[in-house]
Formats: sequence, C-alpha cells, structure tokens
Amino acid sequence: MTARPQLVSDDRAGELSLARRAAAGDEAAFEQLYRAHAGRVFALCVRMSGSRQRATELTQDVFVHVWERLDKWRGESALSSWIYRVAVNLVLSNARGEQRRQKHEITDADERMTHDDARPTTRADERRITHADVGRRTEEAIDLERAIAALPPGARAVFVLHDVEGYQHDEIARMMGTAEGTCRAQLHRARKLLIEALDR
Amino acid sequence: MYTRSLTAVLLAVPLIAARGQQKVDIRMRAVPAVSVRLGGAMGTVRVIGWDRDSIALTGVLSPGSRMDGGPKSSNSLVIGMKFFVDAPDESAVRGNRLELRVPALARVWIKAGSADVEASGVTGGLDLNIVGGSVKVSGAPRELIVESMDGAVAVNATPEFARLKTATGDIQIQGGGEDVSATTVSGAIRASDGTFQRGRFESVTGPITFAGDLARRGDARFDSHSGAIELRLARRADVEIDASTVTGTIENAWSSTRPGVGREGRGMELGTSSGMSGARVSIRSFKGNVRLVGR
Amino acid sequence: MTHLSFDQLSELAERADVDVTAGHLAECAECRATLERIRGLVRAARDLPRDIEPPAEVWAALRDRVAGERGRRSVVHVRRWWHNGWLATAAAVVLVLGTATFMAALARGKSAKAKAMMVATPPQAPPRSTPALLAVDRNYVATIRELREALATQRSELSPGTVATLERSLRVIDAAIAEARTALAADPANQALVDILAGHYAHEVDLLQRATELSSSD
Repeated sequence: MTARPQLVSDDRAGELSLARRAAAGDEAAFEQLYRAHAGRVFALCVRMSGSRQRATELTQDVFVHVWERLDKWRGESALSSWIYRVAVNLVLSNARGEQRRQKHEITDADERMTHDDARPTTRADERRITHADVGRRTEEAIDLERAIAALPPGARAVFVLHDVEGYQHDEIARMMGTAEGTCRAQLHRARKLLIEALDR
Repeated sequence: MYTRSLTAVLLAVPLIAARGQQKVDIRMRAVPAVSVRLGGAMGTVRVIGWDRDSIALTGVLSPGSRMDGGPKSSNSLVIGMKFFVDAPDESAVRGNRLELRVPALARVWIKAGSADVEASGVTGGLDLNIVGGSVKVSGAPRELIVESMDGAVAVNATPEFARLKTATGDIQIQGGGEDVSATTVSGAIRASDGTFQRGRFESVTGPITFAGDLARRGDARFDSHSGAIELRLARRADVEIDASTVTGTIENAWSSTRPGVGREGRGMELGTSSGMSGARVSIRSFKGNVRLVGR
Repeated sequence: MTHLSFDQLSELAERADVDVTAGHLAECAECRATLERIRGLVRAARDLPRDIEPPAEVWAALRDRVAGERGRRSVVHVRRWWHNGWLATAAAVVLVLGTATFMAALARGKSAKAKAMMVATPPQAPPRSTPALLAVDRNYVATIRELREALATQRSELSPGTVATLERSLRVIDAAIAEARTALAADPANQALVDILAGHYAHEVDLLQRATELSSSD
C-alpha cells in the first residue's frame, strides 16, 4: 500500500501488548485502541459513504470486526495499517451491498449529484463538528467535503481512496473487484463532477 | 470560485418584530440535490418536493418571532441552505407556520419542539426531529429518519432506508421499504400495505402489529418486552418463523404448526416454515403475547 | 483548436513529469488552466484532515455491542461446560473464579471513574450476578450513568412536558430491565434473555442520548 505516510510512532511491541489486552477483554485497552484510531476510520467512513449517519454505524462495525479479529493480528504491519485495511474492506463491502439494493440505474445522461450532507444533531454538535473535524480548515475544505459526499457512490469511493487516501489504481481495482481502467474512469468522472460543483 | 459554505454565509434576515404577523417569502435557485435545514420554534411545517430547481420558503411568523438564514445573494445557485426560527413564547411558536418547497431530490433536515410536520414528494432524504406534535410522510424518500418523543409518526411511503423512533408516540408505516426500523418505548407500531425487504420493529411495552409482506429472502424481526405482537400474514406467505417468549403466550392461527412449551418449562416457542423463498421472521417477547393470524 | 479531453488532462495531472511548455499545452491556455485546476483539486483532497472525530455515541454503542458479544460468548462457554458433563461442583468453581477475575479486572480499571459518576438513580446491580449478566449489565450501567449525569445538568432546558415523557419512558424501560435481569439471573444460559436485556439497555441509551440532544433545542 502506498497511502499517505503514517504519523504514529512505530511502537510495535506496545501495540502488540495493547492488542492482546484488548482481545482478552480489557475494556480500557480496547478504548485506548479505539481512541487512537477512530478519527481516521470515521473520516474514511464519512467520506466513502457520504453520510454521517451511515458512517456512525460503519465505524462501529469496523471496530467490532477489529475486536473479533484482534487475536489474529501478529504485528507484521502497523496496527493502524491493519485497522485501516479492515475499515476499507468493510466500507467497500457495505457499498457493494447497497448497490445491489439500488432500484434505479443512474446513467450518465440523467446522473445527478446527490448531496448527502453531514447531519449534526444539535447546534452544539454542529459547532463541534466544524471545530473538531476542521481545526483551521478553510471554507474551501468544507465545500470539498460536502461535494465529495454528493458524488455518486462509485466515483466517490475511487476519489476518496485515490486522491484523499493515496492508494494506487491497481490496489483500488483489487479492493473493489473491478478493472483498473474502470477505476481510472471513475476517478476522472469524480474530479470532473467535483470541479463543476465547486466552481459554481 | 468555491461556493461559500453555509457556516460562513448565514445572513440574518431579521423581520421586523412589530405588531401583527410577518409574512415569509424567500426564494432561490438551487441544485437538484440541495441540502436544506430548517430548525427552531415552528408550529407547522410542510415540506413539498417539486420539479423545479429552486427553493421556496413561505409562510407566516407570529409577532416577536424571528428567522435567521437565507441566501447570500438572490442570484446564487446554492447547494445548501439553513434557516432557524426563534419565538418569544409557546403561543408564538404555534403561530409560526411555514411551507418549504424543494427540488424533489433535495435532502431536508427539520428540527422542532412540538410541531406538526408534513412531507411529501421528496425523493432525496428527510431527517425530521420533533419532540411532540406529529410527523406525516408520503412519497418515496430514499432515506428517511424520524425521531420524536411523544409525537405520532405516520409514514405512507416506500423508503429505501428508514429509521423511525419515538418514546411514547405511535408509529404507522404503510408502503413497505428496503431497510425499515421502527423503535418505540410505549407507542404502538403498525406496519401494513407494503413489502419489506428488511424490517426491525421493537418496543418495550407498546403493541406491534404487522400486516405487510416480506420480500423474497426478506428478513423481519419483532422484539417486545410486554407489548403484544400480532402478525397478520397472507395465507400463502412464503416465510420461516422463529418465535419465543419467556413467559408470554404464542397463538398460531396462520398455519397448522402448534407452539410448544419454552425453555425450562416457561414461556412458549414456535418454529414454522413455509415455502422456499427464505424470507425469515424472528419474534422475541418477554411477557407480551404473540399471535399469528392469516389474512 | 482541438482541446485535450478532461480525462486526458486528469491522467496528465497524476504525472509529475508533464512539460506544459511543449506540445498542445504550450499553445493552449485553456487546457493548462484545466490541468492546474485538477492538480489544485488533488492537492486540496490530499490536504483534507486525516481524522474526523466521531460522535461520542459511537464509543458508547460500540462498547455495548462488544459487551453483548462478550456476554454471549460467556454464556456459550458456560453451556458447553454443562453439556460436557462436568461435575456441578467444578462448573460452579469455574463460574466463581470467572466472576472473581472479571470483577477484579473491572475494579482495577474503573472503580475511580465509577465513583466519580454516581448519579441519583443509577440501575442497581442484580442480586445474583453471572458472567453473562455482568458483561452486559456493567458496561451499559456505566454508559447510562454518564448519560443520566449529562442530562441532569441540562434538565432545566427541557420543557415540563418533555421531562414528563422522558421520565415516564425511563421508568417503563427500567422496569423491563429489572424483570429481564431477574429472569436472567435465574436462567443465566438463556441467550434470548441476554438479547432481550441488551435490547432494553440499548433503548435506554438511545432515549437518553436523544434527550441530551433535545436539551439544546427544546
């Protein structure tokens, strides 16, 4: 994987200890593991699903999967990489399930960008979201997040994995079970739709 | 140029807090899948999806009420918009009546205290939060989320994804759906007149009545602590049922399978299968009585 | 002039070695501008925040799910021991040891935090605890305590009608929880009861969370 560089310290022994304790039922250890990685997982889930509500459910699913499989992680890769791979696979699997339930085919001719905006539940939440997930983020970044959420699902997935997360086309194609050419086409489509939306 | 975000462009539209009602008439062009939020002290809200690429917010506000929000300029093509209504007291809230027309593909988020909310014709998404009052939804929203405390919820629609929650308010669903969940503490849940692919119906003490159909390989679950659960199934329904109670009774007037005594000699259990479609129903009750009848 | 297609420019945007002073790009300001626009988009995407903080309820709900799953596994483990015909004494010893170990682990991690979060009406521990009951009950109790405490500080912001609805509903749920806990204590291997109890807890958590959200807008 050639994603963005890891920013966490490479304390493999510490990670193994934490993972073992969490797998053994130590809630404090599991919470520590969750706190360390939830932000990145949630960011992926929000951007890939285009829905904060779905991302909340998906993030839970990811960490339940992680908890169930923690005893299988042997430290060959960084814990963050392993958790992240679980998240990507789960989100893509969920997306495939949703696409199978789609009633309507969206063709190029009548394709629309649907805007599935983030849903803060209170005004306080809205402020917290703006602050916590933005920091000193600019208005342009806020618009970009919204526009990504509004992309059609396939284009959104490829854009997030490639341009946001840094995966290469061959990796994305393998993960999505599709041809590399299809991934490239989806990426170009995503970029075009985003530029059209942002430049209005 | 990037479109300005909502958080940067909230333009206060202070209507004069003078004597008498204040008329609201805000209109703007919008993208088909525009995101609109309307919150605060409103007595009545009507949301209508229409076939124009524009938003129209009309209605009246009572004296002393105030609305914030609106477009940055009347020529902007917006992708998102937010409005918030304030009122000085409860009687003023009841006098705030608004109608919001949006492109059918829009996503609309409403949050109010005690309000009567009605939505129709929206095929994008609806996220409706009230404390009391009522919510009525018709049409085919792709995503439908409704949360209420004691307000009643009536859905005459076929959402792809629906999450309906109340504390004491009743929930009525007509029209089926792909993935529907209805949860209440003590309200009554009634689901009918439609096909459900995946359904979850849960209460603590409220009764649950199901008179819909399950899709092939559909999956429905009914859970209650003490509420009665009644399933009215088509005589030839293709479904596999697994029901159990801790102390409640099970009555099967739908098929010939007789329920048996439950675990440890308490409660009852019933396992029945009919057909090859693989539609599955799971019923679990603590002490509420379970009844299967044919229709 | 025939321009490069968007897809072609998008492909070029991924290459660092594109020479904009040669070929068509040298002559076409429009294509250069589009290429730069695409590159700007990609830069903006790469600069998006790595993390987005999830809502607080994600951890609460996750903890509940894991606790429920842990409880189910404890129940299955106990059932297997009985089914294998272990002596009742040996099985009882295992249960006691398991409970003691579990309680010790809980005490190590959480006693200080639990004491700090006492609220007026926390759910009471069952009279006879089992591993399954402990696993599900304890984690929910902590979450419910936190939410009740948060709600207590915001109570004055809710209307009297909402408070009445909320209290009525909480009483209903608490009564159901008490009945389910009592039944589970008498029949600890009953998986259906574990699920029923977990479902009631989830109801209470959901109701309390919604009430805390309401307090800012009621």
